[in-house]
Amino acid sequence: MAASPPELQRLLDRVAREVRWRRAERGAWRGAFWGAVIAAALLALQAWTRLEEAVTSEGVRGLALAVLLTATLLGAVVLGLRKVSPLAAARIADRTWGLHDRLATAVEYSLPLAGHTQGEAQGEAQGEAQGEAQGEAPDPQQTMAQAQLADAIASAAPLAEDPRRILPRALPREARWILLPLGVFCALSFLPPLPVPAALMQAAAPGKARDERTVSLVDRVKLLGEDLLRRQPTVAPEVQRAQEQPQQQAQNEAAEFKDKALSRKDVSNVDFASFAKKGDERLKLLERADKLPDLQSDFASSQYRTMAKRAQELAAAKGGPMNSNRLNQVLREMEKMGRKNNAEWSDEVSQAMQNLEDGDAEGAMQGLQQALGKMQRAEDKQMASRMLQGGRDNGQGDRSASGGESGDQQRFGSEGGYAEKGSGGGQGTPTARLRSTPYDAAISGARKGRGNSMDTQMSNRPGSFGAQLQFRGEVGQYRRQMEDAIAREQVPRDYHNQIRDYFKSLQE
Amino acid sequence: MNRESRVEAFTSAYSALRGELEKVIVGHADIISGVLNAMLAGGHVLLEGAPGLGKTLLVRTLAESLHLSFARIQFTPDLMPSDIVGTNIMVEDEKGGRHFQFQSGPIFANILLADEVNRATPKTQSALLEGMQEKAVTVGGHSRPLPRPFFVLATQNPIEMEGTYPLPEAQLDRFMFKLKVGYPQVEELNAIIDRTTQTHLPTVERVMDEAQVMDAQSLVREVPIASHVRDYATRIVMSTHPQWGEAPEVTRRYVRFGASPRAAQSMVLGAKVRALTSGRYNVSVEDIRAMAMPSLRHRVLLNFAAESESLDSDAVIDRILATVEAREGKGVEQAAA
Repeated sequence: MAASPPELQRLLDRVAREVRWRRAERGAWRGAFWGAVIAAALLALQAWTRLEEAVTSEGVRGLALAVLLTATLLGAVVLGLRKVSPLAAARIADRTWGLHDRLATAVEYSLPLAGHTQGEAQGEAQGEAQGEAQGEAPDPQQTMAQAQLADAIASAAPLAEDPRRILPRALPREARWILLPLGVFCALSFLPPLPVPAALMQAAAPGKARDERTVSLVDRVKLLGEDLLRRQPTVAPEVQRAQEQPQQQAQNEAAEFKDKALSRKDVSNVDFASFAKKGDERLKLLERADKLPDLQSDFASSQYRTMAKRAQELAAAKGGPMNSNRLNQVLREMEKMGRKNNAEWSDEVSQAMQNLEDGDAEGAMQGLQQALGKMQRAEDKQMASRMLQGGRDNGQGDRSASGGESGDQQRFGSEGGYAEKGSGGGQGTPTARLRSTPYDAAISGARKGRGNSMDTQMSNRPGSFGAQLQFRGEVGQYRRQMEDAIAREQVPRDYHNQIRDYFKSLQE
Repeated sequence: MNRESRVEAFTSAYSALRGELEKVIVGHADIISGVLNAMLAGGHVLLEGAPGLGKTLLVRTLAESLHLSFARIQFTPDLMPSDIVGTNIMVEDEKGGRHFQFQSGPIFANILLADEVNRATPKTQSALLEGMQEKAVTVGGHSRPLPRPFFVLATQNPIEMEGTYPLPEAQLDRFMFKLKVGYPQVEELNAIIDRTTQTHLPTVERVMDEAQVMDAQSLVREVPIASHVRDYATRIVMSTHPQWGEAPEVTRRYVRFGASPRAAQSMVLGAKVRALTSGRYNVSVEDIRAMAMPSLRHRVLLNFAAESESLDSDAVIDRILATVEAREGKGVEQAAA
């Protein structure tokens, strides 16, 4: 037998050595990647936390470089020293060289024979000789294994002359991204720091005289942030406007719900598509439960309450440095309101402003209180006229009394009391106003000839219209669920139009 | 004779046998390989194909090229078990005494062709069971060994299913391989016409005798197989079991019952023959993979989902093999990394 287990062992050792080299290369790449990450993190930490006060900049840089090199070496050593079992080496070689598992089989069947001690081998040889002498046949499995070993070594030997062909050099995943941490590392450690204005430097370190006329890029970004923070009061109006935007948006959304133009019977009958579109918009708003407008607060709010709240805040913070400014601001707003609506409290406001200019804050506050009292009385009067008279006949007068009430509030408030709709609906003779809104109820009639008989017609009973509103609301919900079901394809396609027609007929 | 010379003798005998078969059979190289592999591994083969594709001719040619006894049974619905295994008949001796004498059936042959095996009733089909597995039949309380080697080649037609009795799973499992005989290509059909429509018909020589076949069968079992190759065969078989924890998704979806351990035995034995005929002394993963399809296709039972999607067992096994192959490759890559 030409081949023997030691030959196979030598062959596998060469394969294992090559595998370990490849592993070491991969380990080095991985170590370099993670080392670069840690080194970059160290340098970044040094830049942000002024570590150089404790450690010099060169020291940190050297530490980072050492981490990078150590990680690279460590990765190479750890993976390179990992043991490659003979079976694993044989399987790798089989796969690479297309040996059809010859080496792996040889390792399993032949290497255990090589593990025997010399004495055992001699004993076995003597036993085999005795067995042959006695006519016993040798173990067929063993003889086949020896033939297999010879075949494996004969097949692998020519290929093993170049063991570098065993494993192709393949870069690990980390190697593809190594440029990123390495780039950061180099930028933080070797690039010169960027120059910054001296003022910025002084702002960055108040009370500390810095000898250096330059700071690093990270320092510059940090100083810029601090400078912006310091400038915040100058941009306060913009910020205030940005803060007011959600409030404005909420008001718009409230207006969406308050708009009942399409709910008028004549309009809805004429343009169903507009009605459906408006309904869809409201449904979309309802889905955004977190941004629903606070309708109740819209009803409850008034100019008096707004101004009274601000006056209370002023009184609570009296004595502070900002008080006079804020008081002046409130007074100016009230003056503007009064001028616009020709209100009764304008005189009190003017007097309060004069007191404030004279430095009499107490007198200004008293003037403000008096103006607020008048404002409250005016609003109470306006509210009472709405409640008692429905706001219909005295609509014009109320409007003049309510002063700066916004259009939305005016319209919505008037609806709550069977009030006017639009500009002309609430004026003129009662007969002309009939059927101008869906909330009006009346009986119209005409004498028939000269007799006593009358043709009467009841129009727009409020009770029935209320039920219709509820009905429409319910139908709208079911209609939405229907559309969802169709969108989720829970309904066969052939039935879509039929179902939609059914709901449409309900709406009509 | 040492191992190398025995292996060389095996290889040359195999080549000669194959050459004789190819004198008569045109094309069907994989069918010839499968039949020879099964015979040398000591298994039985179920040939499935449409009529006229040369199934019976292949078996008859194989019998002619071997110094072995050959019997053919044409399975019909009225065939009885005793027609296969034989029966005891009353005979009268010279002195006028009467006694029972066993009249052996056609199963007592080295090569048995069970033609259109699915046309007989299950009772008759089961008469083959004991003979195929135990290499012996029991008649009248006496167990009678069958001649060695014993090799059953059964054929069935997948088209004409009316009036047939599909083989039960127990009997299917006793076939080492199930080979599907396909239609010949254009060139092959031309060659078939040339060979069979002329006056000079090819003659077959006998190249192996009973002892050589038995020696080849014992040599096959000596071929070593590495543990990872054996594990590969095991994983393939286990992957056909939907209840196995690591079974692939395709098995869970489409397989009702997985392959039996006989499938793994068939794969390994067939792979050993393939290794020897390829000039190797060991079994490789490629050998196992090549033997997987004929070993598994009749042992994997599909469920209704597979039938509803017109998937046959070959398609499902293909996917299972792809899954197991991917896992095998990943294992070696992990060893290298």
